[in-house]
Amino acid sequence: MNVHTIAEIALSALLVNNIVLGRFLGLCPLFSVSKRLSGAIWFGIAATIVMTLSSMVLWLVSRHILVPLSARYLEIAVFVPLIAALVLASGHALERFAGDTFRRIGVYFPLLAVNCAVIGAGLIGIGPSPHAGGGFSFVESAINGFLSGLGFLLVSVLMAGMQERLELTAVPRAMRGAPIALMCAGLMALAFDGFTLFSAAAR
Amino acid sequence: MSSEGVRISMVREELIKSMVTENVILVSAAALCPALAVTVSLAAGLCMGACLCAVIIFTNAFVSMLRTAVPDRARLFLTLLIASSCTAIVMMLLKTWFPALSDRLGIYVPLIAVNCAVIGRAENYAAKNRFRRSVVHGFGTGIGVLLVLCIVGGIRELAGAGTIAGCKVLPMGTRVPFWVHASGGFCLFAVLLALVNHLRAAGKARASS
Repeated sequence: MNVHTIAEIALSALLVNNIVLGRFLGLCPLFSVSKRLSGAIWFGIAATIVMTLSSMVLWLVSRHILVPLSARYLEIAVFVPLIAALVLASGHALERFAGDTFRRIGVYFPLLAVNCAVIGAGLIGIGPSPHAGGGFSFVESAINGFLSGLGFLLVSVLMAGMQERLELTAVPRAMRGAPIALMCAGLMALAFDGFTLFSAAAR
Repeated sequence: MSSEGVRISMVREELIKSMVTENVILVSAAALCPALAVTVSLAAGLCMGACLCAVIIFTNAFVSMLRTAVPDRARLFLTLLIASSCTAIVMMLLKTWFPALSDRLGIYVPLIAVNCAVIGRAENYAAKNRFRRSVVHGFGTGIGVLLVLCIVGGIRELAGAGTIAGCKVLPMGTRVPFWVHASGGFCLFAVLLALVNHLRAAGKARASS
């Protein structure tokens, strides 16, 4: 584990293989929650926390429980209820005991309990690593989860900004709602395609 | 009408509703993650669609079977447990029968367990309806998803790579790689959803006039 590897993982998770625009995960909350900028920011922060948490937990469970028992085929059946329970419980705890700032984040936790971006970030963390030498280490997996969350935050803020502007424009009736949001996401993905060259140059 | 006739008309009505008029991807814009991510070719779309279809049917069946035995508060966890177990079984079968496709679909196969279509239909439909009706509804939903994934996969493969199911169709110069990229997927879905919106609005206007 060196600085170069970590930088590559971070760059890949944040921009090149952005969890929304590159891997198409977490689209459902993106189109329903992020219509207002403030909501998008808080939701993105909540998603970042949950994704980091889920990456760390999934790595530990996979490497220290399922692999020694040679039960990797059970992975998904264990992970989904586990993460849902964990996220719901920590959301309740935040709402109950934390201050106002954290309470605002905790409100979004139930939405993240069953979310493909959260489980997806964890699955990427235990999957084959993009660089040579097998899978991610624990720290690398946590970094991957954290930066994936930041990538989600970035895209949801950008999308919310676009949605706010779109309300002031005359969108054709058939395109209103999901279609125009998808079109915006497509144009943004085209811009993010440019980062692919960025990562090729770093090699 | 005989009871047999009632049953057949129920099945037909339920199938049309779940497959066409309430198509989970095109009408409710849910389950977009797998629909966008894997549909770069017809084969991948077909395979993903079949997996989704199987998981939706079995999750609906089990949830509706157990709906009176479990209290409402525990329903979400029951649904998650059933959906993820079904997904684990589908994953194992896929790995044994089609190892190459299973590698290509990657993390999107396990992610069926948290798919909005699977969880949404189980929570909103199967938890409130009888076993037979839920299975028919799940079958219709699954086939609806399968068809959409195949159509989108076919269009993207034809436009982006110039082939259909691996056979060369278009000459070299007419390929537009944009369509097999992420951005092409988003734009194609935007156009499809807009088309469906337009058709629905037109249908509603015709019905009211």
